Amino acid sequence: MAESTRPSPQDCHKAIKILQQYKRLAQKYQLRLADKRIIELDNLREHGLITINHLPAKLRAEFPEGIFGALTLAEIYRWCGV
Amino acid sequence: MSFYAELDQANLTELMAYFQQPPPDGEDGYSYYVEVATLIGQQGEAGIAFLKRQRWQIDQDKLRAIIFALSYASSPTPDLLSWLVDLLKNQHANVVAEAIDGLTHLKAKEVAGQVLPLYHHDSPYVKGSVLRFMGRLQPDKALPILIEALHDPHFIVRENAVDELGEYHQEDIITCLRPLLADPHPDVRQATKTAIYGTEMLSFQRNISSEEQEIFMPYSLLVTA
Repeated sequence: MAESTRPSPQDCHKAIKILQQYKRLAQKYQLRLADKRIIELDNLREHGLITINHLPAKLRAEFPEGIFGALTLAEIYRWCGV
Repeated sequence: MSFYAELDQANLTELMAYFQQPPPDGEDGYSYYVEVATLIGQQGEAGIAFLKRQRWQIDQDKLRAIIFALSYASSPTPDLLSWLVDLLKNQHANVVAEAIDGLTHLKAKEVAGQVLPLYHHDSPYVKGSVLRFMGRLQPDKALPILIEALHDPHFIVRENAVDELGEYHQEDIITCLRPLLADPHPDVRQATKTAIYGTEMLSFQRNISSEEQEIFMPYSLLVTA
């Protein structure tokens, strides 16, 4: 996670979009997430702890491949320089 | 690790059994089966062979899950592509949409002639899948179609068009997107805001030095939830 290997802005943007906007994107793919799952995900997101592994496979498939692994949203912010 | 943490420790036999059972109480069938099928597909040849045997499912949720899992676990063999193309004629719109997404993931540009006419399908989800296929596999040809789709009466189509146009990162597209900041649907407004800010940020970055880029990395601040 060295600064010198900072990921591209496009990859940062895409990764953060998915980790923040999963609710909208899930609906776009006709995934009906149970209310309790959404509450859990919202809680993880608000604390910066959400990772791509917390999200449904349809959204994982959209995530930039082989770059962020299981980094949390907060870690991705840091790595992307936000 | 999967969306359903309770599935993480399951072996192939258990996963195959879960796939044959109803989804847990309160869980949506498609959302659940797609996770189970994905894990089955990750179990290697035996898992893929199981999914292939299940391809004649009449349960739509399970069929869609199999389409997704096989598209992501397999290479684009003629047999798989031919099956997905046959599914484009399926009577259920959500199966058609999933088949198009599978073809997109497999980068099956050669079937564009069979996918593009489905843009006139009644289902906004099928239209959305066609926009994703075109936007990702034929971006030059897709541009006028995506711009036209911004005026579609259904929000799902407009949302898909905005998300795909946001991937172009071209400043001249912002003019087309800006009116959708006032779209009646909140998901379209959120997608538009994200696409515009993403495009503006990348344009800004292209115009500054690499040293300045180390200081100015404002893009994620603009991806608002």
